[in-house]
Amino acid sequence: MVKAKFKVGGMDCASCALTIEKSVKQLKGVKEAKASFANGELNVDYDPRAAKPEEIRKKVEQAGYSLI
Amino acid sequence: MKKEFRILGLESTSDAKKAEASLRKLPGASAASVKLDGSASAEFTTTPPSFEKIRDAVIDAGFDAEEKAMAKDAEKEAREKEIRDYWRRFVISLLLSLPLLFLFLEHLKLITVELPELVMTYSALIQFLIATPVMWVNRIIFIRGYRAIVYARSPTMDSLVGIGVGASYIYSVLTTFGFPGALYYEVGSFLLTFIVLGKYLEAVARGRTSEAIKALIGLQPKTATVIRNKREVELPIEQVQVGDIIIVKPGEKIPVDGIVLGGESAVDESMVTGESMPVMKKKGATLIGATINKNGVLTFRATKVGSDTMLAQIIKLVQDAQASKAPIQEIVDKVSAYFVPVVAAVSILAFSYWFFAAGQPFSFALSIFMSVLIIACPCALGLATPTAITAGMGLGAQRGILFKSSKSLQAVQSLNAIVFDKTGTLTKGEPVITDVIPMKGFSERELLIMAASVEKNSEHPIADAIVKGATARKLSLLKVASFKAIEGKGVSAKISGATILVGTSRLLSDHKINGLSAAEKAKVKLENEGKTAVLLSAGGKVAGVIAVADTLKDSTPEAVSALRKKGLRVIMITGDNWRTAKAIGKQAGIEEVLAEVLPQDKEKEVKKLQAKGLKVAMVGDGINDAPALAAADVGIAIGSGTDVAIETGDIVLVKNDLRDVVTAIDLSNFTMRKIKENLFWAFAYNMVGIPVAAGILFPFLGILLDPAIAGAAMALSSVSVTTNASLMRFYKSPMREKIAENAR
Repeated sequence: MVKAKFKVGGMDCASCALTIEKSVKQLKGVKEAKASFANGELNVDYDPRAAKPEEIRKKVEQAGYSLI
Repeated sequence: MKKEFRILGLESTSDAKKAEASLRKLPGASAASVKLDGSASAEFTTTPPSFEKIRDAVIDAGFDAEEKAMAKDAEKEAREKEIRDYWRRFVISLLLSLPLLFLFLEHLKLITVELPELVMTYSALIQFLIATPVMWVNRIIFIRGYRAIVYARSPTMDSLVGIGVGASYIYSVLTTFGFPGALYYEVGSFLLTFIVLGKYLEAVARGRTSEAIKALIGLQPKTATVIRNKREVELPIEQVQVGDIIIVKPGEKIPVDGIVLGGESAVDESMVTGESMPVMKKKGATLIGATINKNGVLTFRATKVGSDTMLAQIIKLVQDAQASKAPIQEIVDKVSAYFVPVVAAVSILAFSYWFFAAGQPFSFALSIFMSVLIIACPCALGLATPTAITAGMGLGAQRGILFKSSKSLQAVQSLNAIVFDKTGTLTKGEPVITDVIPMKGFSERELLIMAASVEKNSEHPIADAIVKGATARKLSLLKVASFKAIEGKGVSAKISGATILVGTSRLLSDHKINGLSAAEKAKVKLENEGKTAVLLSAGGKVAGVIAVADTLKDSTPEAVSALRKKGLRVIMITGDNWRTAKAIGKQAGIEEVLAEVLPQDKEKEVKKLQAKGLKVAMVGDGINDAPALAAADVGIAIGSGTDVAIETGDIVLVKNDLRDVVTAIDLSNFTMRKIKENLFWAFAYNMVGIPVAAGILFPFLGILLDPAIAGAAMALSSVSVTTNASLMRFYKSPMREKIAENAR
């Protein structure tokens, strides 16, 4: 299990954080996703054998935000 | 060949080293470097392995890798770009919307406009041509709003705005091209303008609330003067290693944490500890990186570098704490999650009522539909807690008060008792001479010189206090012969042939010294004050009494009385005997004393208080009080100055000043009050706004909320919440305090 920390661009409200969390959690292999609006951060706990960072990136971008 | 990529999941420098080692083991790898921020590179002498192979190796080491090099300062640039982008969108939207202003004002029935016929004829088309680019520059709102519904199945505020504005725009477009209806271009355009302005102001304010952290990061020195191969070389801070010998000249920043080897200087530590007075440092003293060397040259050995330094730890601590969710935030999040769908339902109901039941025109019902969607945006609601918490924790960090999580901030407000460890917390933690009482024929000075000269050979804590006291008074000690320690009683020695005894009454009477009564009387009196007293005789005569005691910190009585004024029960806990404990308690102004408590039982005492229904804070020096700190509702570790005791305590006080306990409690309450204010305003605003927007007042007073006004009000509500949080920086502690200017 890897605990990865990303910076998120464009997260400008608390409900955006929830959207990002929910989108990322849909990925297989992701155990936990916590987005913090205050810090513009996304913390993801995932199994690197089941999910790739690129997939996480894509999910966040699909929701309309960017990963830095 | 060099390959650059990014490593994920690094939490410490040792993680980075582990990942680095896994890269070095790759076939053909000649060098590898991994930094804590995740930026990584590896050099290969042969054709590099495929990225999949590299990733495999990194995963085996417990991390993950992404084939994407990290840009320098990417985060800062992204943030600045975000702010610039909002500003650009705002300006474009505003300029385009301005020609629509007269329509907007007319729409609000504030003016009536007579327009040239040509304009009137093409009015709809002109409006269409103006409004469309406004929609286009702000398309991200529609995209995000739509995607939140489709991909995450949870509508956000963007969804609400998107549906509201989108509906008005589409309706207007249909009207423009022949569908019978009304035009709402100006409403949608102004609404987007206000929303983007709100987001711009919010982004600026959000950047400001984390200024405290930015200031801390900015403190980090860039270079260090290190002795390598007997020569002074200036190295970038990243290359400094533990064990390096470093030289700091007057006026320079101390680059990393370390221990002084030579030199003497005053060091300004205010930026890290909040302590405004410079601290004298000489051989053996610990230095904190990023503090400023004032007047002397110091040579020191680096003990902690990189992410292990105290400053780096403080930064991480504050960042983690700011990111943590307060329990109150979790409730708010839950409410927000239900709030949006409820609002969507209300808007549809309102629309249906006005259109179908009340028989109002479609445009009227649509306008209501939009107003409800817009006014209800839970934006201020979401901002209320995090902005206040970030500001509150920043205020703490400036004062050397570190909150470890938002939870501890919230827990403070329900406290009703506060337990202090005595030694090292209420008191200075080391005994000092408090009284010197000479008998007839001796002077204070003589008494001290004799006692210190003899006690210099002893290792007892009392002896230590006497010697230190004499040294502090600049007394020169005498030569002693035939020193002898008498177990449990004291010591004896000879000075210029005369026998000197220092110890208990028993020691003196054993040596047949007479006329003890006056000295003994003094001793009992001192002991009743909680002091430890020793008798002294010289050449068979009683010479006097010296008392030592662990004295209160100067800040103690003031802090205790401030806490009691706040209505807290103040309790002292100690392993000392009842007499000493009560005496110290009396000086500190504490009536409730728990004495003769074994260190391992402190935790039990805290639990006993909790069993009585009290919410208890425990204040201790963090080393031996760890279990009690953990058991308490709020554990406050104090004076962990050089080695931040991050494991113990929910609140870490960097300075060794009890007044910070009062400030920490006050600051928590202040922050919680701000959160509640923010939440109240955000809620109250929605509670009032939604029914009005739904047209509840229309049948009685003819009042309706125009969608664009709703948009402006909504932008205003989030701006007022963030402003309220940024005003927090004018916070003043109830304790007199002086914050160093550069720590602000």
